[in-house]
Amino acid sequence: MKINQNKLIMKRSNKLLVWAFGFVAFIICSAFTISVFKDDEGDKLIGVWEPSHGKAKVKITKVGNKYYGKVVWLKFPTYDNGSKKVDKNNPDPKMHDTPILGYKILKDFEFVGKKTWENGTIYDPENGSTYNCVIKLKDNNTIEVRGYIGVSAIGRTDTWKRLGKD
Amino acid sequence: MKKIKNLIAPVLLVILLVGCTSYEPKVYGPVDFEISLEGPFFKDGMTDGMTTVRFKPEDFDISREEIFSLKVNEITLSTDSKDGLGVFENLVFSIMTDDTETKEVASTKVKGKPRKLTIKGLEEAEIEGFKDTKEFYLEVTGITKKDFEDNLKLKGTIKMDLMVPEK
Repeated sequence: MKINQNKLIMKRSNKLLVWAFGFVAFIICSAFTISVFKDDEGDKLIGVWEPSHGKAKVKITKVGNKYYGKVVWLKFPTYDNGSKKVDKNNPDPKMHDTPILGYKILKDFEFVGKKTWENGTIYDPENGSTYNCVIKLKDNNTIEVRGYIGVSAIGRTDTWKRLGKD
Repeated sequence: MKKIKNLIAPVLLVILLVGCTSYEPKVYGPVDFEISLEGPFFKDGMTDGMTTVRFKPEDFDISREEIFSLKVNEITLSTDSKDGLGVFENLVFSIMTDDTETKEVASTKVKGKPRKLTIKGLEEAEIEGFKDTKEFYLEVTGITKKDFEDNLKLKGTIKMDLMVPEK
Protein backbone atom coordinates (compact mmCIF):
# COMPACT_ATOMS: atom_id res chain seq x y z
CA MET A 1 0.00 0.00 0.00
CA LYS A 2 2.79 2.38 0.98
CA ILE A 3 4.73 1.50 -2.17
CA ASN A 4 1.72 2.35 -4.31
CA GLN A 5 1.34 5.67 -2.51
CA ASN A 6 5.00 6.48 -3.12
CA LYS A 7 4.61 5.59 -6.79
CA LEU A 8 1.62 7.91 -7.04
CA ILE A 9 3.53 10.77 -5.43
CA MET A 10 6.47 10.15 -7.80
CA LYS A 11 4.16 10.13 -10.81
CA ARG A 12 2.49 13.38 -9.73
CA SER A 13 5.77 15.15 -9.05
CA ASN A 14 7.10 14.01 -12.44
CA LYS A 15 3.98 15.41 -14.11
CA LEU A 16 4.44 18.68 -12.17
CA LEU A 17 8.06 18.82 -13.29
CA VAL A 18 7.08 18.38 -16.93
CA TRP A 19 4.48 21.14 -16.58
CA ALA A 20 6.96 23.46 -14.87
CA PHE A 21 9.57 22.77 -17.54
CA GLY A 22 7.02 23.43 -20.27
CA PHE A 23 5.95 26.68 -18.62
CA VAL A 24 9.54 27.94 -18.27
CA ALA A 25 10.25 26.99 -21.91
CA PHE A 26 7.11 28.88 -22.99
CA ILE A 27 8.15 32.01 -21.03
CA ILE A 28 11.67 31.91 -22.51
CA CYS A 29 10.37 31.42 -26.07
CA SER A 30 7.81 34.23 -25.67
CA ALA A 31 10.43 36.63 -24.30
CA PHE A 32 12.77 35.75 -27.18
CA THR A 33 10.01 36.23 -29.77
CA ILE A 34 8.98 39.57 -28.26
CA SER A 35 12.58 40.83 -28.21
CA VAL A 36 13.19 39.73 -31.83
CA PHE A 37 9.91 41.37 -32.87
CA LYS A 38 10.84 44.55 -30.98
CA ASP A 39 14.27 44.61 -32.70
CA ASP A 40 12.62 44.22 -36.10
CA GLU A 41 10.19 47.03 -35.35
CA GLY A 42 12.95 49.29 -34.05
CA ASP A 43 15.16 48.62 -37.05
CA LYS A 44 12.59 50.18 -39.36
CA LEU A 45 14.37 53.44 -38.61
CA ILE A 46 17.56 52.20 -40.29
CA GLY A 47 18.09 53.70 -43.73
CA VAL A 48 18.81 56.96 -45.52
CA TRP A 49 16.36 59.81 -44.90
CA GLU A 50 15.84 63.27 -46.35
CA PRO A 51 14.55 66.17 -44.21
CA SER A 52 11.80 68.38 -45.69
CA HIS A 53 14.26 71.16 -46.67
CA GLY A 54 16.01 68.68 -49.00
CA LYS A 55 19.43 70.17 -48.26
CA ALA A 56 20.86 67.01 -46.67
CA LYS A 57 20.56 63.23 -46.46
CA VAL A 58 20.95 61.45 -43.17
CA LYS A 59 21.90 57.79 -42.79
CA ILE A 60 20.51 56.16 -39.66
CA THR A 61 22.30 53.08 -38.29
CA LYS A 62 22.19 51.05 -35.11
CA VAL A 63 25.06 50.59 -32.67
CA GLY A 64 24.39 48.33 -29.68
CA ASN A 65 20.76 49.03 -28.85
CA LYS A 66 20.75 52.68 -29.95
CA TYR A 67 20.21 54.48 -33.23
CA TYR A 68 22.38 57.22 -34.76
CA GLY A 69 22.13 59.42 -37.83
CA LYS A 70 24.99 60.88 -39.88
CA VAL A 71 24.96 63.46 -42.66
CA VAL A 72 25.97 61.54 -45.80
CA TRP A 73 25.09 64.09 -48.47
CA LEU A 74 24.75 67.87 -48.71
CA LYS A 75 23.05 69.78 -51.51
CA PHE A 76 25.47 72.67 -50.96
CA PRO A 77 28.62 71.04 -49.57
CA THR A 78 30.75 74.19 -49.89
CA TYR A 79 30.61 77.88 -48.94
CA ASP A 80 30.63 80.61 -51.61
CA ASN A 81 34.43 80.71 -51.44
CA GLY A 82 34.62 77.00 -52.35
CA SER A 83 35.72 75.74 -48.94
CA LYS A 84 33.88 72.78 -47.43
CA LYS A 85 31.10 73.40 -44.93
CA VAL A 86 32.33 72.88 -41.39
CA ASP A 87 30.81 72.85 -37.94
CA LYS A 88 31.73 76.48 -37.24
CA ASN A 89 28.87 77.02 -34.79
CA ASN A 90 29.80 74.17 -32.44
CA PRO A 91 30.16 75.29 -28.80
CA ASP A 92 33.56 73.56 -28.74
CA PRO A 93 36.00 75.68 -30.81
CA LYS A 94 38.09 72.56 -31.53
CA MET A 95 35.20 71.22 -33.63
CA HIS A 96 35.05 74.30 -35.87
CA ASP A 97 37.14 72.63 -38.58
CA THR A 98 35.10 69.41 -38.55
CA PRO A 99 33.19 68.89 -41.81
CA ILE A 100 29.39 68.78 -41.67
CA LEU A 101 29.54 65.84 -44.05
CA GLY A 102 29.89 62.76 -41.86
CA TYR A 103 28.61 64.61 -38.79
CA LYS A 104 26.52 62.59 -36.36
CA ILE A 105 23.47 64.83 -35.91
CA LEU A 106 21.12 62.19 -34.43
CA LYS A 107 22.36 60.45 -31.30
CA ASP A 108 21.33 57.87 -28.72
CA PHE A 109 17.78 57.05 -29.87
CA GLU A 110 16.12 54.07 -28.21
CA PHE A 111 13.12 52.25 -29.58
CA VAL A 112 10.33 52.42 -27.01
CA GLY A 113 7.58 50.69 -28.97
CA LYS A 114 4.52 52.18 -30.67
CA LYS A 115 6.69 53.15 -33.69
CA THR A 116 8.53 55.68 -31.50
CA TRP A 117 12.21 56.33 -30.74
CA GLU A 118 13.03 58.49 -27.72
CA ASN A 119 15.82 59.67 -25.41
CA GLY A 120 17.87 60.94 -28.34
CA THR A 121 19.14 64.32 -29.44
CA ILE A 122 19.31 66.22 -32.71
CA TYR A 123 22.08 68.68 -33.51
CA ASP A 124 21.43 71.70 -35.72
CA PRO A 125 24.72 72.72 -37.38
CA GLU A 126 23.12 76.00 -38.52
CA ASN A 127 23.16 77.34 -34.95
CA GLY A 128 25.28 74.80 -33.03
CA SER A 129 22.37 73.84 -30.77
CA THR A 130 21.42 70.39 -29.58
CA TYR A 131 17.78 69.58 -28.88
CA ASN A 132 15.99 66.68 -27.27
CA CYS A 133 14.27 64.70 -29.96
CA VAL A 134 11.52 62.15 -30.56
CA ILE A 135 11.10 60.24 -33.81
CA LYS A 136 7.82 58.66 -34.89
CA LEU A 137 7.32 56.36 -37.85
CA LYS A 138 4.22 57.49 -39.75
CA ASP A 139 4.56 54.83 -42.44
CA ASN A 140 7.51 52.74 -43.62
CA ASN A 141 8.86 55.65 -45.70
CA THR A 142 7.97 58.64 -43.52
CA ILE A 143 9.16 59.74 -40.09
CA GLU A 144 8.29 62.74 -37.99
CA VAL A 145 11.31 64.20 -36.23
CA ARG A 146 10.39 66.47 -33.32
CA GLY A 147 13.10 68.59 -31.72
CA TYR A 148 12.33 70.33 -28.45
CA ILE A 149 13.81 72.02 -25.42
CA GLY A 150 12.52 70.90 -22.05
CA VAL A 151 9.02 69.62 -22.71
CA SER A 152 8.01 67.93 -25.95
CA ALA A 153 4.99 70.25 -26.31
CA ILE A 154 7.28 73.19 -27.12
CA GLY A 155 9.19 72.26 -30.23
CA ARG A 156 9.19 71.83 -33.99
CA THR A 157 8.33 68.80 -36.07
CA ASP A 158 9.84 68.03 -39.45
CA THR A 159 8.80 65.28 -41.83
CA TRP A 160 11.58 63.18 -43.32
CA LYS A 161 11.21 60.84 -46.31
CA ARG A 162 13.07 57.58 -46.82
CA LEU A 163 15.33 57.36 -49.85
CA GLY A 164 15.27 54.09 -51.73
CA LYS A 165 11.71 53.33 -50.63
CA ASP A 166 10.45 49.93 -49.43
CA MET B 1 11.52 77.07 11.82
CA LYS B 2 13.56 74.51 13.74
CA LYS B 3 12.18 71.80 11.48
CA ILE B 4 13.34 73.66 8.38
CA LYS B 5 16.77 74.12 9.95
CA ASN B 6 16.94 70.40 10.72
CA LEU B 7 16.09 69.60 7.12
CA ILE B 8 18.46 72.07 5.54
CA ALA B 9 21.47 71.37 7.77
CA PRO B 10 22.24 67.86 6.46
CA VAL B 11 21.82 69.01 2.85
CA LEU B 12 24.24 71.87 3.44
CA LEU B 13 26.67 69.48 5.12
CA VAL B 14 26.62 67.16 2.11
CA ILE B 15 27.12 70.09 -0.30
CA LEU B 16 30.00 71.32 1.85
CA LEU B 17 31.62 67.89 1.98
CA VAL B 18 31.33 67.35 -1.78
CA GLY B 19 32.52 70.88 -2.44
CA CYS B 20 35.55 70.44 -0.22
CA THR B 21 36.65 67.09 -1.68
CA SER B 22 39.79 67.59 -3.68
CA TYR B 23 40.54 65.42 -6.67
CA GLU B 24 43.71 64.22 -8.31
CA PRO B 25 44.23 63.30 -11.96
CA LYS B 26 45.00 59.73 -13.00
CA VAL B 27 45.76 58.38 -16.45
CA TYR B 28 43.92 55.41 -17.91
CA GLY B 29 45.73 53.77 -20.78
CA PRO B 30 47.12 53.69 -23.36
CA VAL B 31 44.75 50.93 -24.47
CA ASP B 32 45.29 49.41 -27.92
CA PHE B 33 42.60 49.13 -30.58
CA GLU B 34 42.28 48.22 -34.24
CA ILE B 35 39.72 49.49 -36.74
CA SER B 36 39.17 48.16 -40.24
CA LEU B 37 37.64 50.43 -42.85
CA GLU B 38 36.13 48.70 -45.83
CA GLY B 39 36.98 50.26 -49.19
CA PRO B 40 36.59 51.47 -51.79
CA PHE B 41 36.45 55.09 -50.62
CA PHE B 42 35.64 57.93 -52.97
CA LYS B 43 36.90 61.49 -53.13
CA ASP B 44 34.87 63.85 -50.94
CA GLY B 45 32.99 60.90 -49.51
CA MET B 46 32.57 59.69 -45.98
CA THR B 47 33.71 56.44 -44.43
CA ASP B 48 33.48 55.10 -40.92
CA GLY B 49 34.56 52.17 -38.82
CA MET B 50 34.14 51.02 -35.29
CA THR B 51 35.71 48.85 -32.63
CA THR B 52 35.03 47.83 -29.06
CA VAL B 53 37.51 49.01 -26.43
CA ARG B 54 37.58 47.53 -22.95
CA PHE B 55 37.33 49.86 -19.98
CA LYS B 56 39.03 48.28 -16.97
CA PRO B 57 40.40 50.98 -14.65
CA GLU B 58 41.51 48.28 -12.19
CA ASP B 59 44.34 47.43 -14.64
CA PHE B 60 45.80 50.86 -13.94
CA ASP B 61 45.29 50.74 -10.16
CA ILE B 62 42.21 52.94 -10.33
CA SER B 63 39.13 52.00 -8.37
CA ARG B 64 36.02 52.16 -10.55
CA GLU B 65 33.90 53.46 -7.65
CA GLU B 66 36.18 56.44 -7.09
CA ILE B 67 36.01 57.86 -10.62
CA PHE B 68 34.57 61.36 -10.46
CA SER B 69 35.07 62.43 -14.06
CA LEU B 70 36.57 61.07 -17.24
CA LYS B 71 37.85 62.65 -20.42
CA VAL B 72 39.76 61.47 -23.48
CA ASN B 73 43.31 62.77 -23.29
CA GLU B 74 44.63 61.60 -26.65
CA ILE B 75 44.19 59.08 -29.41
CA THR B 76 47.04 57.83 -31.56
CA LEU B 77 46.38 56.34 -34.96
CA SER B 78 48.67 54.60 -37.42
CA THR B 79 48.52 52.60 -40.63
CA ASP B 80 50.91 50.64 -42.83
CA SER B 81 49.08 51.81 -45.96
CA LYS B 82 51.24 53.32 -48.76
CA ASP B 83 49.60 56.75 -48.52
CA GLY B 84 49.49 56.61 -44.76
CA LEU B 85 46.57 58.53 -43.30
CA GLY B 86 46.83 61.00 -46.18
CA VAL B 87 43.77 59.45 -47.78
CA PHE B 88 41.75 61.41 -45.22
CA GLU B 89 41.05 65.09 -45.11
CA ASN B 90 39.61 64.91 -41.63
CA LEU B 91 39.03 62.36 -38.85
CA VAL B 92 36.47 62.48 -36.02
CA PHE B 93 36.32 60.04 -33.13
CA SER B 94 33.28 59.39 -30.99
CA ILE B 95 32.53 57.17 -28.05
CA MET B 96 29.27 55.29 -27.60
CA THR B 97 27.88 52.88 -25.05
CA ASP B 98 24.42 51.47 -24.43
CA ASP B 99 24.12 53.47 -21.21
CA THR B 100 25.90 56.76 -21.72
CA GLU B 101 25.50 59.80 -23.89
CA THR B 102 27.45 59.67 -27.18
CA LYS B 103 30.27 62.18 -27.40
CA GLU B 104 32.66 63.34 -30.09
CA VAL B 105 35.97 63.02 -28.29
CA ALA B 106 38.60 64.00 -30.85
CA SER B 107 38.77 65.66 -34.24
CA THR B 108 41.65 66.53 -36.54
CA LYS B 109 42.54 67.74 -40.01
CA VAL B 110 45.04 65.48 -41.73
CA LYS B 111 47.94 67.23 -43.42
CA GLY B 112 50.28 65.41 -45.81
CA LYS B 113 50.59 61.63 -45.70
CA PRO B 114 51.42 60.83 -42.08
CA ARG B 115 51.75 57.18 -41.06
CA LYS B 116 51.00 58.09 -37.48
CA LEU B 117 48.92 60.80 -35.83
CA THR B 118 48.41 61.89 -32.25
CA ILE B 119 45.08 63.62 -31.72
CA LYS B 120 44.29 65.54 -28.55
CA GLY B 121 40.91 65.03 -26.88
CA LEU B 122 38.29 67.75 -27.26
CA GLU B 123 37.84 70.20 -24.40
CA GLU B 124 34.14 69.54 -23.92
CA ALA B 125 34.43 65.80 -24.28
CA GLU B 126 33.85 64.82 -20.68
CA ILE B 127 32.20 61.43 -20.68
CA GLU B 128 29.46 61.20 -18.10
CA GLY B 129 28.09 58.05 -16.51
CA PHE B 130 31.09 55.98 -17.60
CA LYS B 131 31.77 54.44 -14.20
CA ASP B 132 29.97 51.15 -14.77
CA THR B 133 31.01 50.71 -18.37
CA LYS B 134 32.99 47.55 -19.05
CA GLU B 135 33.59 48.38 -22.70
CA PHE B 136 32.65 51.05 -25.19
CA TYR B 137 32.39 51.57 -28.93
CA LEU B 138 35.04 53.78 -30.45
CA GLU B 139 34.02 55.04 -33.86
CA VAL B 140 36.12 56.89 -36.41
CA THR B 141 34.57 58.87 -39.25
CA GLY B 142 36.80 60.06 -42.05
CA ILE B 143 36.23 62.37 -44.99
CA THR B 144 38.30 61.07 -47.87
CA LYS B 145 40.25 63.40 -50.11
CA LYS B 146 41.03 60.89 -52.85
CA ASP B 147 39.71 57.65 -54.28
CA PHE B 148 41.07 54.63 -52.48
CA GLU B 149 40.38 51.10 -53.65
CA ASP B 150 41.56 48.91 -50.78
CA ASN B 151 40.47 48.26 -47.25
CA LEU B 152 42.35 50.22 -44.62
CA LYS B 153 43.53 48.80 -41.34
CA LEU B 154 44.08 51.35 -38.59
CA LYS B 155 45.92 50.67 -35.35
CA GLY B 156 45.76 52.99 -32.41
CA THR B 157 45.76 53.69 -28.72
CA ILE B 158 43.46 55.69 -26.49
CA LYS B 159 44.45 57.42 -23.29
CA MET B 160 42.02 58.97 -20.81
CA ASP B 161 42.25 61.43 -17.92
CA LEU B 162 40.35 60.47 -14.80
CA MET B 163 39.70 62.46 -11.66
CA VAL B 164 39.58 60.54 -8.40
CA PRO B 165 39.41 61.79 -4.78
CA GLU B 166 42.80 62.72 -3.39
CA LYS B 167 44.14 60.35 -0.74
